[in-house]
Amino acid sequence: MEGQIYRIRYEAFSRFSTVLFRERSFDGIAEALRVNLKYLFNFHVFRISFNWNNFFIHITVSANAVQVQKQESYLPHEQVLLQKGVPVYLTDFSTLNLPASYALEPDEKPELWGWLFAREECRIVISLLSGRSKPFAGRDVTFVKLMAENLESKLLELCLFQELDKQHALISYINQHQQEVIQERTQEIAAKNEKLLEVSIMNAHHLREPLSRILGLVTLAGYCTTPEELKQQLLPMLQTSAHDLDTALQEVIQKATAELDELKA
Amino acid sequence: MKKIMLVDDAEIANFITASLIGHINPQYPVYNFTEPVVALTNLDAIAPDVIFLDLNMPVMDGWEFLEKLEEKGLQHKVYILTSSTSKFDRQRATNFANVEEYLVKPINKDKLSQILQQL
Repeated sequence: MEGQIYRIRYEAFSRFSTVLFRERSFDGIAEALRVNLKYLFNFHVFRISFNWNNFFIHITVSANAVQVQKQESYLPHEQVLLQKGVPVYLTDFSTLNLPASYALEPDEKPELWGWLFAREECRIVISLLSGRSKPFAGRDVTFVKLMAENLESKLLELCLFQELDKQHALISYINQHQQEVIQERTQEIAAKNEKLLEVSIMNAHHLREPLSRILGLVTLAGYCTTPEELKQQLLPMLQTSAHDLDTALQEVIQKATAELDELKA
Repeated sequence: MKKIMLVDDAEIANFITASLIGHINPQYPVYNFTEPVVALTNLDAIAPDVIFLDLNMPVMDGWEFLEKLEEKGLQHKVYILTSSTSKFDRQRATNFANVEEYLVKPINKDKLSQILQQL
């Protein structure tokens, strides 16, 4: 008889595991718990609190209702479990200020059970409220542990998926942003290049003017018949033109330096 | 004798051109202007057979000078004489019917002589 009951419960557990395996959302897992949990053991309220990194999932199953919380909100007895790490068994917990669903008739003789399963970065707190009409016995703990293992890997998987999605979204965003930045920079560089080219062309023309005069004057020097003609007429003009060329060159250097500073900024 | 007008804001540039012309033939009457506006007002009085025109000048540049000629319907032969080797300037010069040729400074005596002989 005992063996028979166990067999049925293992089948129920196996069915629950299969359903769990396919679930892709926290709400789906909560629903699977609501439907299947009652075939594994008795309880008034069953609660699982899962934590990994920044993820906190609290699922509360009672009678036919299920509640999912995705922010950190441990109940007092769960906090005790997290602190002490040893299983909890309470028959009087009136001072804990638990939610209304934990309040049973006195002759129901409520019992509050709790276990902490901590592995690597995951922490699972499982607690359940039983009573005379929903008796929970020590041997049922086996199923709680089995379920805790299954739930842990499933919840962790979902958290990892969500984390992955978040990272993926972040990476996509960064990529997109980077592409925009690259495009912008490329355009900027092209514009600066063009401007620099324009400046260099302008500069070259600016320099050619006094240079062309010097070249012209040198040509004229070839036609000079007396040293006086060269010295008195052409030399002052050569001087002026050479000076103009020097001024123009210095302007070009100054402008190019300013341009370079601007580019570096 | 053909009359020659030089328009260049750099006095030395005009001196160079005028000197070369003098070496070719001192008989040529050469009128040189450093201000294009003044050159324009003297066009009628001088009636030059050829104008050597610089491009890059303050107040009125060579292009404006050419536009004024067009506006007034004047048909003077113009040789652009500039230090600019820019292909854009060279291209732009072809838009003006007055412009005979685009010359880059410094012009040599042979080229100048050839131009003057064709007048």
